[in-house]
Amino acid sequence: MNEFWAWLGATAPQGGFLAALAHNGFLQNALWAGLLASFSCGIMGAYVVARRISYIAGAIAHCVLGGMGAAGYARAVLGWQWAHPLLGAAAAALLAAVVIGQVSLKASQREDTIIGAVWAVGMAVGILFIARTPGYDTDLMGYLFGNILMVTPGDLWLMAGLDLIIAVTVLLFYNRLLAVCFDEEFARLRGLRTDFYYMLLLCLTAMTVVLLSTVVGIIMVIALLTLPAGSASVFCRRLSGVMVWAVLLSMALTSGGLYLSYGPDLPTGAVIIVLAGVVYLVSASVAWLRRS
Amino acid sequence: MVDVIELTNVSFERSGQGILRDVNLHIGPGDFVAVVGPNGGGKTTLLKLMLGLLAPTTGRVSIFGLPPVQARSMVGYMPQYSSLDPGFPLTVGEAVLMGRLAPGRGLGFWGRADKDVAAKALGHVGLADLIRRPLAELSGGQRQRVLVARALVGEPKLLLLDEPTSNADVRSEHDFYDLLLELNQAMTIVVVTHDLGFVSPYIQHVACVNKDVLFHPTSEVTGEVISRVYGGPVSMVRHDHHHEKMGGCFDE
Repeated sequence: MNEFWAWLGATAPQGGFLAALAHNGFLQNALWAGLLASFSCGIMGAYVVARRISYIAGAIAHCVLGGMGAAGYARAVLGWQWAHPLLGAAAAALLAAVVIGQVSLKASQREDTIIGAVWAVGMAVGILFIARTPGYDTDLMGYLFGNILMVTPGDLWLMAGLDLIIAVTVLLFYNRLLAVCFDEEFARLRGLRTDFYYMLLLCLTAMTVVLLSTVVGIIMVIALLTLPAGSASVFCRRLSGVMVWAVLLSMALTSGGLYLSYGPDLPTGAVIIVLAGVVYLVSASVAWLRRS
Repeated sequence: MVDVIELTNVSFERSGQGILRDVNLHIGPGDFVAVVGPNGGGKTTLLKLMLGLLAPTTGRVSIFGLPPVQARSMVGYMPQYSSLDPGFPLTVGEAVLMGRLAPGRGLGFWGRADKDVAAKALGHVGLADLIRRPLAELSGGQRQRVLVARALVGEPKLLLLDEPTSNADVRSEHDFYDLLLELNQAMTIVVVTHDLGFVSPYIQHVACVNKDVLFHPTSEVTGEVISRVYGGPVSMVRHDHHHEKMGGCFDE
């Protein structure tokens, strides 16, 4: 890899993005973060879009703030050095997934009210913790809108690990998850433990949300989770096809967003999301034109 | 010989409201039964009791002499298509293969044998050419057939269908019941329908469901019986209406 960056530094036009990429480790980390997060994002995004649980993903994303805030507080005020914000984020996301999953499995009515409550309360808890933590302004902005330029090599390994977990799980359970998403009742009649697979889906979504929140921030996570998969759904006839195209599209979007935001010094997460929105608009328009 | 379906003094209540009361039903091997009755009369509930998706408030349901949940591997089920997402990214072949799922089966990729069974089932319902097509592009009648193929690949001995032709045209409805008649050679069939006039040439028994369940041989079902179940002459109007539709079809 180092040879590649050296070669890029020697050949890329000086003063441009590529030269900066070749010379700056933080930009290389950002690029890797985008690519690694795109893998989980495309695969889980395909499930979220097909199973229509983007509202649940949104609630989980906003709960992440509660976990990040609590971990930051524990670290700064209580001195618990092991309380990494990503650890707090993962714990909060999984807790939210389990609570919402149980609610949507057990209580058929008022599901949306409870999801909305989890959404808002998770966020409020985070804001309270952050308000009591010294130096909260910078943290809050980073959590909410992402700080892909601050990604550490440790974060990258975490992302790669999660990608591996998701790849193995989806390869193993693809047919079962497909059946549970398409026709849960039928899957249950075939003897599948559909509640287990539904919870598995929510927990994997929760972990993906945590990863993506480091790239584009908590508020814009749902957009990155749903827009590439939504765009791919227009052209793909299989869920596996949606996954492949959503992964490739996310990779292009995160890398493109990094490239476009570097020159004019714009917030990378926001640029990625605007790009994703444009791509979705174009593909939805194409679909609309084809139908009419 | 053990009954395929046996309901003994079954009642079902939902939030204090009686949906079915004191149902006794015996359906033997090789039967072809239509379940008819007004909307909200308990037809789908009856089917879900047979599938073990609902548990009776009182009484006992047994399928092939077993509790419904344990008998599921012998039962093929076709839900109403309207309960499914029409835009789901899925090919016809993938939808049919779902019927091969079972505990311990369907991990990783599908094997050759499963794919062959799926292709054969699609051929059986006359859709062999469509195996790679997206389900969303099919007509209403074709989708119903895909769901039948999905129920068949589990190699069931009992087939339960919920309003299978609700959004098919009359011609494909005819073809569909011809197909069921053929399948009836090898398995017991129970079909929920609102269209008794149409299905009566095909079936052996009628279960009229409106809180109570009355079970008749088809030959005994007269206008009077139907009026009693529907609580009025509604069914006769449907009946006439249906002949009009059939006439239109045959005029082609």
